[in-house]
Amino acid sequence: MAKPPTGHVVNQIRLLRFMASEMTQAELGDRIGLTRQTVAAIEAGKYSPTLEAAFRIAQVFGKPLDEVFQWEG
Amino acid sequence: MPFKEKIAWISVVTTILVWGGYFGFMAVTGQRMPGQVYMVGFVGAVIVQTILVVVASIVTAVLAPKDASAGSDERDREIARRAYSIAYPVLLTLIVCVAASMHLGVTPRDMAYEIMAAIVVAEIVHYGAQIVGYRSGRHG
Repeated sequence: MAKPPTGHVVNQIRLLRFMASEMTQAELGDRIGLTRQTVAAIEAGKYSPTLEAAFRIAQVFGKPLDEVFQWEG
Repeated sequence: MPFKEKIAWISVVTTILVWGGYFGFMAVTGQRMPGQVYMVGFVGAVIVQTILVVVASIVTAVLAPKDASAGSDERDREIARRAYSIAYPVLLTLIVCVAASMHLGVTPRDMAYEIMAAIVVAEIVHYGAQIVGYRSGRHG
């Protein structure tokens, strides 16, 4: 069986929130249908969102997906 | 702390206290008391736990109304799904053990108590897995 690649997803959500007039985690959560705690978990790298949620986050900031989330191997 | 995690904490603590007390009483008395005592104890445990969970949940919701009304999102559902996938095999294993105990001369009444204990253990595992899911992360 093939070994899964080691690595993890990193994101720029904290920076993007700062650049979006210090948008709060709760505000971002409200706009994408997630709780504040889930946004905090994503931001801290403790939870990898579904592809749909990742696209919604990128859409809120008007950025392509790969500017918000990156794979760090 | 997410509202769902608070509810999981309330549920696991009340389950351990109430059902631990019930089965502890049963173990200490060695089932020497009349069956009605244990039956009343069982009904009492169900009522006490229901009251404790409802009251604690209401207090928690009043203290953080926004979190309480937020509903479940994808992370909550993923954690709940994983918790069930961990607790279900535990329940199945314990039920098989209860069925096997029939060959050790266990009475039907004892088997009924064993099944209740299996459900309680599976519920504790379920709530525990939810708490671990919220605490540890890395489940997406």
